[in-house]
Formats: sequence, C-alpha cells, structure tokens
Amino acid sequence: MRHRPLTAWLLVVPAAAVFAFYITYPLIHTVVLSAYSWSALSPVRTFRGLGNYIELAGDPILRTALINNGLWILLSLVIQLPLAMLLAVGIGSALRRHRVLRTIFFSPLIIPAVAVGLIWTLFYDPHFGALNAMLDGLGLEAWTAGWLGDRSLATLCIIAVSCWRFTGFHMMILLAGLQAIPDDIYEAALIDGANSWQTFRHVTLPLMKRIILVDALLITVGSVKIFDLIWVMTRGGPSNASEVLATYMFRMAFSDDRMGYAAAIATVMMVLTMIATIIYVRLTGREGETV
Amino acid sequence: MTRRAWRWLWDGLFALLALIFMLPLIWTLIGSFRKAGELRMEPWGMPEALAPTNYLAAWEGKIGLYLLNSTVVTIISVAIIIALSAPAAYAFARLRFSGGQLAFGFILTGLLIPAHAVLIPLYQLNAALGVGDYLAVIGPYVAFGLPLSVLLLRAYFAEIPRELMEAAIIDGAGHLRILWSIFMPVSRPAIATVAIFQAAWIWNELPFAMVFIAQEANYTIPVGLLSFQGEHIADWGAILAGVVIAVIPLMILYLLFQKHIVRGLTAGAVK
Repeated sequence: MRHRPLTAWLLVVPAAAVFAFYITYPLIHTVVLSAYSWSALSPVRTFRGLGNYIELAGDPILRTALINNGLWILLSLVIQLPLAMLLAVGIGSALRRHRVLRTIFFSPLIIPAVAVGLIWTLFYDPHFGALNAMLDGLGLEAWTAGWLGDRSLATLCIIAVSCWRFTGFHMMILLAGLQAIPDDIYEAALIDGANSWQTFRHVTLPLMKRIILVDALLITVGSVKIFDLIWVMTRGGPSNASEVLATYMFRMAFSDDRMGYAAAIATVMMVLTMIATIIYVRLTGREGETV
Repeated sequence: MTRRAWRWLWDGLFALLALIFMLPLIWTLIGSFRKAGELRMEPWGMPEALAPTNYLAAWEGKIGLYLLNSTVVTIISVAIIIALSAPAAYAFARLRFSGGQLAFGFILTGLLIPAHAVLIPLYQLNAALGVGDYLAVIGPYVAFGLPLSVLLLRAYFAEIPRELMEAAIIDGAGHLRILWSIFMPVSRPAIATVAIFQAAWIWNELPFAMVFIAQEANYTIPVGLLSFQGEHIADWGAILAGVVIAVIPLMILYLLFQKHIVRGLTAGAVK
C-alpha cells in the first residue's frame, strides 16, 4: 500500500512515547542514581562513583541473593520446561478430550500472586498447616518440617509454589508452538513407522527448538526478577535465607531508605537480564543457521 | 502394552496431575467456609455448616473496596493499552517505513525489563508530579503492557488477508478507519488474548501498587489482601474467604474468553 512514512510514525509515536517516558528514561535514570548515596527524605545526594558497587561486591546478603536467584533459574528450568512440555503434548492428544483439564492447569496463573502466597503460607504452616497434617495422615511423619521457617528449605518451598503457578502458562506457550506444526509432518512420520516417542524425539522436539528457547528465556528472566511470592511468604527470611535481588532491592529502597544502594542492586538485575537475553539470542541465532 | 492401556495410563497420569494442581485451591475453597479454630485444629476437615461468616468478615475488611479499585485500575489500563498498541501494531504489521523495525525492537525490549529497574525513578516522578494513586499506577501498567500487546496484535494483523482492506482503500478510507472498522473486529481473538493477559497481570501486580498507592482507600487487591492478612493474622477462614473473593472476577473473565486464548497466541508463535 502506498503511504507516507509520517502517517506510519503518527500511529507508532503514542505507544513509543509512553514506553520511553515510563520505562526507557527511568531505566537510564536508575543507572545514574546508582552512583549516588541518598535518601528519599532529603534532597541531598552525595556522589559515590562506583562506591555502591564496591560495597555490593563484599555484601554477604547480595551473595545469598545471587545464589538464590541462580537456584530459581536452574530449578525453574529443570522442573517447569519438561512438565510444561508433557502437559502440552498431553493436551495435543489425551487432553484434547478434556478441555476442563486445560483450564485446571492454567488456573493458578489467574490467581493473584499475593493470594497464592497467602494460601501456601497457611498450607506450609509448621504447626497448623495442611501439608504437615497430610504427611502425618499418610504415615510420613518423618517428612514433616518447618518448611518456610527452615533456613535450608524456605527457597525450595517457594520455588515449588512458583512451579505450581507458572507451569500452566508455559504449557500454553508450548501448546501454541505445537499447534503451529503442520499435521502432514506427523502423517509422514506415521507412514515411516515411527512410534510416539520417536515422533516426539525426532519431529516435535527439533521443530519446537525455537519456541522452547524463547520459553526458557522467559523462565530465566522471570527468575531473575522474581519478587511477589517471596515477599508475601517470607519477606526474604528467615534471616535473609530466601532473599533474592528484587526483595533485597525493595527492602534497601523502601525500608532502609538507601536509595542509591537499591538502584545499584536494580542495575545488577538489569545487567543479569541483558546477559541472559544475549545468551539466548545467540543460541536461537545458531539454531537458525543449522536448521 | 496395547494402545488402549496406554491411553488409560496417559489419562490417569493427567487426572492425577490435575488433582495435585487443584488440591490447594479446593482446600482454599473449603477452608473459606470453616471457622479459624477448626481450620487450625484439623486442616483437612469439612465445614460444620455452610455459613458465609468468613465472607462477611472479609467484606467488612474492605475487600469490596479493594475489588472496586482493582476493577477501575484494570479496566482503564487495559483500554489504554489496546488503544495505544493497536495503531502501533497496525503500522508495524502493514506499513513499511524506515525505522519501523527499530521502533518495534525498542518497544519489545520492555518484555525483559524488571519492574524493579524503574521503581525508584518512577517513585520520584510520581512524587514530583503529585499525581493521584490511580494515575500513579496506571501509567507504568500501560507502559509495561505495551510490548506484549504490540507483539501479539502485530502477529495477528500481519495475517489478515489484503482483500479485506481493498474495498476500504478504494473508498479512500484512512489508516485509522481501516484499523477501527476492519482490523479490530476481525482480530477479536487476539484482542481477547491481550486483554486477558494484561488484566491478569495488572490485577495481580504487587511492587508498583505497594510503592505508588499511598492511601488505604485506593489499595488494589494485592496490597489490600496483604494489609487484610496483617490485620487478621490468626483468622485463616477470613483470609481464605478474602482470597476467594479476589480470585472470582478474573476466573469469570478467563472462563468467558478461554477459547480465544490459544488462537490468539498461535498467530504470534508462527512468526
């Protein structure tokens, strides 16, 4: 269609302007602010240069947070991707007959994270919680635990909730990719005598490599910025054991009023997200060449 | 193993998984009708009577007000997101112009940016502008909603056949007119998908709401639930009832639109 570029830009500019105003500009501003030491209550700002970052490098809580974010990334990928794939493939065959099941797997995503956190906090409660009661009832008393109150279990407990909540979402994404594969490819595999597993391994998986990588990127980025569930369930505790970058940043900014230090943590989050993105873009790029 | 046996096994596996997925929700629903004391004594028991006591307590605890706030904020934000992203998506999908790809990529970066990375400057900005609580959250909600909306709508718009537009072009209709009277009606699945994803996100959003909404009277559901829990820490029944009330509106929305969701996503996945 013939058109002038000006018209096209007029259609794009409102969205781009709002985006730049609320996201791009503040993003740069955060990096600038991380070079200062300042409080939200006073207009005075002291230039610290890289001081905040030097302090971060020796901060044991930051180290805990980084390790926990790493654990979040690793476990979320290892648990959610295969499970979401199983569900997506299942919906392509068995679950096609049961639309209700699809709704069930997706439903935790609809529930506010705060509500999810509250439910599971009660569920995990060491004294009155349903989980310990269930284990008792099943004769597994030895497995009962302090869950969220246990320093070594808290993060794992919250990751489990996150898997419960988001697997349905990743199922939807993989399902979309699955449905984009033309039926005649499967028919060809069937004619060649491939069984279900062979078809999945040699037809479905290679064709879905790209969307699996995109989904893996979403999981990774989501694990770098994870906040809500932890904030509701443990506030990063007990004694910082379940701390992640986002909870630590939030506390530094809005409880301890160390705005510059918090901005530095936010910048670290940003950099990690960028690194993850570059890695995945490289991976998809290389796949694109071989296929 | 026979094909039939496999099918049974497969179905059984999914039924079991579904049960595990549902268990906490069923527990929540049942618990919302039980007295706090019973609930703590025997977490897996059934309610003594189907009395709405907890729901009344939750409603008195301003859950109704939070519900209203969330509804207003969500509807306004989603409407603005669609109003801004549809023209942009149309331009990206249908008009080739220099810098178009760059502008598209620029907006897409938003998919990856953590809210925490802009929290402090926006906190300052809101304080400086002195905007009210609603406006303070609607701005960032719209901005963060744009990338996914532009992405999904662009993919859908790109697949709309040219023939649909030709009559309108011959009539001399402008782009906005074509967008409004041809693209939007045809793209209902994509718009429904965008609307439900954005509504779910905004309805659930915590950090912005926690920092930017100053007055309790303006709390949205997530902040409101947290403060409600703080005030009723031992009253598990009331907390669970509050949770159920908070979930219902989105559940209804999802059930109404769910058949569109996969279709709306698929267009995005092929590209």
